[in-house]
Amino acid sequence: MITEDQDSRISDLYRQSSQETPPAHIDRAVLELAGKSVRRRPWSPFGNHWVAGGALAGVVVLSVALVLDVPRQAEHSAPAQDAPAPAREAQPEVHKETVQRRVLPSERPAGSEAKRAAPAAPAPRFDFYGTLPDSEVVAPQAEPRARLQQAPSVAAEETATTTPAPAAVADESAGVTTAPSVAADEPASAAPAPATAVKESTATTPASQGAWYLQVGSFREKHRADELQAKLTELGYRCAVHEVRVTDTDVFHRVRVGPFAGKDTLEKSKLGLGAAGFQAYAVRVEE
Amino acid sequence: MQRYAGGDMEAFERLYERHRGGLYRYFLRQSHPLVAEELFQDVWARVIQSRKRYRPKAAFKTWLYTLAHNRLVDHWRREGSRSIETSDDDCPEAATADAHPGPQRLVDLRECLEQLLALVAGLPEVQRQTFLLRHEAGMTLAEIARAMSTRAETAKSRLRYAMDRLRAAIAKECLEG
Repeated sequence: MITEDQDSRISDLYRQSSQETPPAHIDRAVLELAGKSVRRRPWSPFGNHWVAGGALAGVVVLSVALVLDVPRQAEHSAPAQDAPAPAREAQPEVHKETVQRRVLPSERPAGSEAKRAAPAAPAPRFDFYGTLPDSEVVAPQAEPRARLQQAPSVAAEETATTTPAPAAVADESAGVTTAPSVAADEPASAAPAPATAVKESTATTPASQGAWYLQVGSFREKHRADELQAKLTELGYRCAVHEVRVTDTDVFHRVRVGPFAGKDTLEKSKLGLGAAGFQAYAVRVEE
Repeated sequence: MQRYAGGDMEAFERLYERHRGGLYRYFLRQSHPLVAEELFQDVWARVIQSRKRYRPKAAFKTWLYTLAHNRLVDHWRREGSRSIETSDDDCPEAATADAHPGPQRLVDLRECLEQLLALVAGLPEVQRQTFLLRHEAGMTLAEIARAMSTRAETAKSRLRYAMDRLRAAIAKECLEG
């Protein structure tokens, strides 16, 4: 992959991950200060009604505190502060509906706020990355790394209890019609892969290079990974928890179903997991 | 901004709404969250203070982030702990992967995101600021140069350094797809 593509990838990744917004109390403080500066009380129900400066002690104190705290910089050499003192300004034309319609950003629906706060971000499906890092289900709806065929697989109804075909990674030439060989201790109901001629993408790897899994979750806390694994096992999926040390301080516990013999079985399991409420996405793990 | 200068509160709200996220994250990537909140508020307070004196010489965004940059530098000077204006033009060569966490494979997208944020936080200051002005403020190199009071060539090489370093340090699986 050439440098420019990788740069784009870095930029995209960054935008997906960078979603934090200021806390609500900060928004309020800024808006209050701005409102005071135009001599308008933000939540006044009285429209044009002029409010004497300092009507709200709290607001005044806050704005005074903010103003006095501001460092003196050179950009716009500031004469004495005038924000708290009710210096009369020529009243510009007033927007009568300004006060009634104004809604604090913190009161706006969270979804739109998130979208507004990150105008350059990609589709909103990545918004939830701004929340806690240990949320239950990890996967985005897109599959950035999946090499699956785009043709949708057979309808999902039958796959609710599908067990993925275990063990050896399929030969490309064999397609995916291998009869699944069930491991001895495995709860079984394996669904045979359909006979559609599956054109393997190059990413179905020979055994020496790794295998495909469905990753269902990744957690810092092991017990949450164990819980997820237990649930999946109950549903009939063979899965395991892999521990990965990401940095000196970060260990992630990943819950993965697999390995899969081929794309079809993986896809069916993915749909099955989706029907059960788990979002999973395909990962290739090199051994 | 001019409308806000004329007393239009809604205009301020729109400005605030448009820039609050990027500006907040700009600080958040470079300091403790509480410090970021303080710096963030300070910048907006200055914007508000300067309402009547505002002259549209430059785009509001450039002005805003110039304030932000200066406020940040000012903060670091007060803290006394950093060398702020590091070697300007001689950006180090493309970084090695020494920051890479090791042989573990990162295939979970969320881990990629977290790793990337950590790597950004670990960039040298001016390169990090350049990166953030590009990605949080959406600035062109010329705008970045103006906001940081430097030359466009310098901004370009700093951004190049940042991207090279991030690319080298992040798990290569994260770069695929």
